[in-house]
Amino acid sequence: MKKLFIRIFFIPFFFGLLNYCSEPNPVELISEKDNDPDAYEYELLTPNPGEIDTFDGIDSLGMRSVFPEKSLIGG
Amino acid sequence: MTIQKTVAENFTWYSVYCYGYFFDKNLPVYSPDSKLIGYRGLDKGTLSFNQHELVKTEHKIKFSYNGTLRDTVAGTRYFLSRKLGSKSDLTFRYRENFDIILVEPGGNTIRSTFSSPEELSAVTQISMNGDEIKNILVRWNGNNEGKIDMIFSYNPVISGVTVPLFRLKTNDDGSIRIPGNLFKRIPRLFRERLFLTLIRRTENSFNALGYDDSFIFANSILSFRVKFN
Repeated sequence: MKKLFIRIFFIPFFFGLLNYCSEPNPVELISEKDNDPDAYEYELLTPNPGEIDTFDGIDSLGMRSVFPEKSLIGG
Repeated sequence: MTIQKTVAENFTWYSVYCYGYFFDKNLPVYSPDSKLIGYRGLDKGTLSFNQHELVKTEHKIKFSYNGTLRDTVAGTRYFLSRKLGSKSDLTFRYRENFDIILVEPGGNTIRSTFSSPEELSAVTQISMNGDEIKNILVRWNGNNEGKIDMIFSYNPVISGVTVPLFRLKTNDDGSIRIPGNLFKRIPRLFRERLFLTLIRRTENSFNALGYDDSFIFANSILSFRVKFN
């Protein structure tokens, strides 16, 4: 009866433990902010990136001029 | 006023852009299909930032109509820039006070002083789950003095026109882990030319000087390419 108990409970546990140890999970630092749903506000800027959108001519954020022309950087 | 720092492959450069707009809200501009696309910009005299006089140029509003890109001139805007390769002597430093002087046509002079924000530096770390983005960790030199904007954009090589995809606003505390589901609607092709722009902004009201709904914005911007290995 004792051997049966060992076979039923401990052997699956042992192999389960071996399997778990052979595939370590990547370690990630998790901060409280990661799980906070109010950590950021989200705004979709271009619902369909393939479409031409409107542009009021103001680029004070430099969003549309991320990189200068190739000739300027010798590319 | 914007100081833009751009980082690409071992190369960092800085650009400065100064814009001035005096919109008349009584003069709205509409597209042919009656959509409000902006307001007429007024000529209010001479505008200078740190003794550099801004140039009066056409205020062009671009808009789409029937699937094509059009533009219209709607008054005046003030502009001055120093881009890479430019010989302009326009200089601005981070964390520096700058003067704004407006001399109106009648000779009345309006002055204001403002300070530019701190420089930004950042790195990203991408976690993948197979071919899917699990999350993107962004770390930057946070100063805990307010909010910071992040804009992910796509810059195709062929057209060179940057397409802003989405914006996040979060505390300027130095790190955020952006969940992968925000990137699901972005075509996989875009990963080749995906850029992240961080914007730290300070804002000051111009109202005390006699202009309603007027503001001075000073931006510190960092743009760099998000690299997928």
